[in-house]
Amino acid sequence: MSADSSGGTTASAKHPRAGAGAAVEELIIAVAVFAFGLVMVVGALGFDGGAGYQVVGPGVFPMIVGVLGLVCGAVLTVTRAQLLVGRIRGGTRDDGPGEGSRGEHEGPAGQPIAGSDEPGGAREPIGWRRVALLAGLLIGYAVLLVPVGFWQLTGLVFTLSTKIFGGKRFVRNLLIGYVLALAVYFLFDRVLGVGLPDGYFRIAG
Amino acid sequence: MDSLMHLFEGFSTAFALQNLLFALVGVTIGTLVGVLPGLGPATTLALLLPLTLVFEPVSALVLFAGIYYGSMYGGSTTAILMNIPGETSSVPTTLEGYPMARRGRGGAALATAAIGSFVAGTLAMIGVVFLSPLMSEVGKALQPAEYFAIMVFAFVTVTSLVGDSVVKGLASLAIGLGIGLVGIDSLTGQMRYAFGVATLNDGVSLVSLAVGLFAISEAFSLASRGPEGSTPIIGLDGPVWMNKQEWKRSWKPWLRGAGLGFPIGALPAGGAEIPTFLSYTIERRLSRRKSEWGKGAIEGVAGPEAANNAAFSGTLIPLLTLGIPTSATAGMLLLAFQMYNIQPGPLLFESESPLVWTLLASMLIGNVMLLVLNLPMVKIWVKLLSIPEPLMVAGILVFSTLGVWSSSNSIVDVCLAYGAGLVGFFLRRSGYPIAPIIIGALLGPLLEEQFRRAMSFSQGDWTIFLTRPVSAVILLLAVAALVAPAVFRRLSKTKAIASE
Repeated sequence: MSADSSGGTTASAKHPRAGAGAAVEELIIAVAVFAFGLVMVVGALGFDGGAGYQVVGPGVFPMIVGVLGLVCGAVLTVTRAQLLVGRIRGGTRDDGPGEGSRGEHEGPAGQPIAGSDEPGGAREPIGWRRVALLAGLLIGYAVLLVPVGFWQLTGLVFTLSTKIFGGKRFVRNLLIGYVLALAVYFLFDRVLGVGLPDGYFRIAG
Repeated sequence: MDSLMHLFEGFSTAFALQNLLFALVGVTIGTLVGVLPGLGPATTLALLLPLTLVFEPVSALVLFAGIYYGSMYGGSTTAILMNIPGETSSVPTTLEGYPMARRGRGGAALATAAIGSFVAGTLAMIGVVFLSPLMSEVGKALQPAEYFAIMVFAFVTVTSLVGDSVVKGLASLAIGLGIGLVGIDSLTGQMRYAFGVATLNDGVSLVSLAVGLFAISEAFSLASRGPEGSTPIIGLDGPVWMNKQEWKRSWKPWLRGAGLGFPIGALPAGGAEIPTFLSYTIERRLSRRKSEWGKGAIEGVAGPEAANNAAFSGTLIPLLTLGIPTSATAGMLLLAFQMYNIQPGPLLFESESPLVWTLLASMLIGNVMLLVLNLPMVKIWVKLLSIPEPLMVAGILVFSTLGVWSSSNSIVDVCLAYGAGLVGFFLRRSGYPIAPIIIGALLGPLLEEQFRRAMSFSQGDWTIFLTRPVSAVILLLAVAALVAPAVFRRLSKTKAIASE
């Protein structure tokens, strides 16, 4: 039954050594959740606009949400910290109390389930280099989109991202990229009237 | 019978040539994108939602409804032929569908999925047509305290039934609710959490958020995964059709699936996964050919696929009549409504009557189109399965950016989408569910509004939620839904330890 379920095993089960790294990552996110709760609560305390004729002012609901975030953040931080300590000491996969292992869903038949709505959970080791390159590419896309123009830049971004993802046929992809970019530009800008950034080389007509 | 009359009017609009065309384009594009490996319905909808907004409301919603169904049909194709479920509710399909494909019965698996989805989807839509007006009446009678309790229940079930950790789910929910609070408070004019950024005065763009959390984060997680993880595609020879015995084995699971999926989907509670898993379990238990299970029992495809589609349709009831989306995909549909300043809720069937009935009619038409489209044309879709990953990801990036830009013409929103994508990527990696974030951000304002109205009625007395019997019962159920999974998990853990 389990022979065909691909990618369903947890990261830590597949790569025991990656356990500590994953635990650090989880700890950072847990602290971030806590910080988020803190920002919400502090903000809620500052909403003194007055309730006016309302019984409940603008700060009450944000306060509830903030406290929820704080509590979750605190619980997660503590359990993740314990997890990390456990991983560093024994390298065992001792998950926190009541916290399931990451990214794994159990079906009724008991099989681990891969690729859910949140399929990203269980992949390791990961290509940090590619993630960084992709992030850089997106920053460039956002910064240059308006000055350079939609189709001019999009063809290039398309090609570069295929490169990041291991595409080998650069020239073919460049061609596909620009054909797609121009087609999209004409359909959305000219036919549907969306108004995409023109950049310096507006095509007349 | 009022419903029927309205529905006929809806059909007359939906059958207008232009709207038929939109429905056809919608189901085609929905299938096309949904069939791409790894792009589940929620991602497909997030990716395509902003692009539909360039049209006028009726056309856009007809188009989007087509995409809604098409994306799900596309998803079952990847589940059967590649063993990749686009979302959790397609998992049972992979358990039997993929082995069927390996045995050379992929065509039959696809056929039973398509026909079963059609049958169940159509039955469920008929249910939606007749039950929605009734539910609207119930919705109108709801007092703020009860409305609040129902929303809390929906939130809790979405949170605790979807992910693997309740605390992480609640953290996601808090993040979503927090994002929904950004901007000017509608009651007092108080600016909240805008941090002096002018674009945030009107709140966070939910389109950017959705595109980021679903589409861009998918690109990041593909980037992190490395190229080695490609799954072999099972080829498809022979026609996409079933033999006599397969028909005989399919029709009962279809009906049972519809019977499970529709009522569960119609509840204002999360968890589209439940009916599909239930259907799988029931079919397995009822089957006389126990040895076939796991090796490609057609009932295991027919039942869950029917249940999935029926549940998908069933979620329209809480969505349209209460304004409560109970899945990420339903959230996308709510977002589409909101983009046109249409607020689904108890009054929707009165205030937007022609639009809603056109939408429902075109969903019924879309189901027929999908059946016609899918059986003969599935071989074309299968070709899309082998699209090189680099091209697919590049396409996701381009269309995400195009979509966000065309919905707001703002580079800030594009950056927001990219940022949400990166954050979403890290959250997903660590097992935080995404659905509560988007549903929290969408529903947070409504939840707060009902909360404040209830508190105004009680003049600040917090116990109102517990002294009103209906709201107390619903909140109690919510607490139970929150605690139950953890209790069950601990129980089974203790049992496992005890038996060792």
